Amino acid sequence: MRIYLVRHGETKANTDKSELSREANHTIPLTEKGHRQSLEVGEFLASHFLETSGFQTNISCHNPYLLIRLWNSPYIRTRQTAQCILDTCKSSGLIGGKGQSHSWFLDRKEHIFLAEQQLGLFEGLTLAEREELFPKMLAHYEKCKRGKGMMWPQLPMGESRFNVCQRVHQIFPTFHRDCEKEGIDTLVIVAHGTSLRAFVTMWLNKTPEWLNDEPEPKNCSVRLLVDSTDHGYIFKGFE
Amino acid sequence: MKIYLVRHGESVANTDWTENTRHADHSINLTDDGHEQAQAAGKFLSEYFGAGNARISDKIRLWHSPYNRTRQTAQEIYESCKFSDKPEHTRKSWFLDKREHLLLAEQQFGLFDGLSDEDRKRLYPDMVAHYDKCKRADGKMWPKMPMGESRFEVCQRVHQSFGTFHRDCDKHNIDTIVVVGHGTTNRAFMTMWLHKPYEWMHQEPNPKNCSIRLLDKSVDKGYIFEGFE
Repeated sequence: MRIYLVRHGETKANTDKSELSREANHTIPLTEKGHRQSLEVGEFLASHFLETSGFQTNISCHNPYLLIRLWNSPYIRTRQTAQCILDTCKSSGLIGGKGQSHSWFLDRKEHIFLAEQQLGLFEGLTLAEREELFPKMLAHYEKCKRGKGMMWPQLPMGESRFNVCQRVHQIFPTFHRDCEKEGIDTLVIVAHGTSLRAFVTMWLNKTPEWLNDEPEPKNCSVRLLVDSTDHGYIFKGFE
Repeated sequence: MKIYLVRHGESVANTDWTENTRHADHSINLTDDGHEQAQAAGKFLSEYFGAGNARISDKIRLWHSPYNRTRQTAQEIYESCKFSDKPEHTRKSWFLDKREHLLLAEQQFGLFDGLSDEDRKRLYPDMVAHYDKCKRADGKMWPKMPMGESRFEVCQRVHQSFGTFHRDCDKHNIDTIVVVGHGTTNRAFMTMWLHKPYEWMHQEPNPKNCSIRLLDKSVDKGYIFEGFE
């Protein structure tokens, strides 16, 4: 299986953390810049598929041999990024005959388990506010952190990264079944900084220390996993 | 499938619980005794396999939880099961390989981690009252730890690891596994694998350090290595 992991484009909360004190995390939209980044990564993917498929532009046929499904998390920013990618991969005009509008994608689906880590009561709080309001929690957090164990502490009324790993792992049977029964062996997954790293952790059976040290992916970066091999970032994304 | 469930050897926190006040649970190490216990469990397994309970051609995978004490225990067992005296074999060990599974981690104690019973009662009276109420009705399965897990949640995610084991068995003929886990996760494993009721888990005593329990298909064969107090 080939899996392309894409982080959403820039959001207002990426540039202004206080946005999360006013709006719930799942409703934060992309900025203008985030939209442009999403179109750009869509173009990258379209040309990447063209290159790797060996498909000739003037052949009139359906989506050559690739069965590619686009998945996104149910948050606004990942829905928007996925929509941009879908639009770009349709309008590239490289696939199908004249007047036909085929897409690189078989379809697009949303999976609730791809949602970002639930920050619970920490959402929208500054570090100083977290320390003031949840001192016991923070002490536990620090103890875990000293042992490279950011995997373990749960956020108040929210999830730990361990919890995120568990529910991301729960999607895998869907992917395996789609691949074995319908031949859908290529996936593009648009999700979030933490849920994508949880994905890599579970798919590649990485250690908690790996997740602890792995930096957050950049906006609209693309990381490629082929079967059990990590090919790293093939599109570096935007700061 | 044959499954050997092993609890880790004696850890520093087993001999001095205040270690938990200084270090997070995942980073607690084995004591020297714990290392020796793990070697003894490994030696037992190697001899047990050699006594006709496994064939050289069997594919046996060693799984362990991602905590320091289970990693260290698994490493000792892995070393003890190498064939030092059978140079004629192409296989060098009873084990095909050794792997880590995140979902085998110990119950997340959350904010109870590193607190004495008195401190738990003093700081979280509501939760301790809820816990006691459940406990009176054989229901330690149900109450959650603050910012941590209930045993019920441990059962759920341990159950989630079964997909991996079934796939390994169906696709790669790995029909024997040794699982090095923890007191609670190993009991959660049995609860789910053998479809035990919650009262069973409530009453089942914590396995001893480095004890080995054998599950053969759906039958609990009990402890084949009693382990250490």
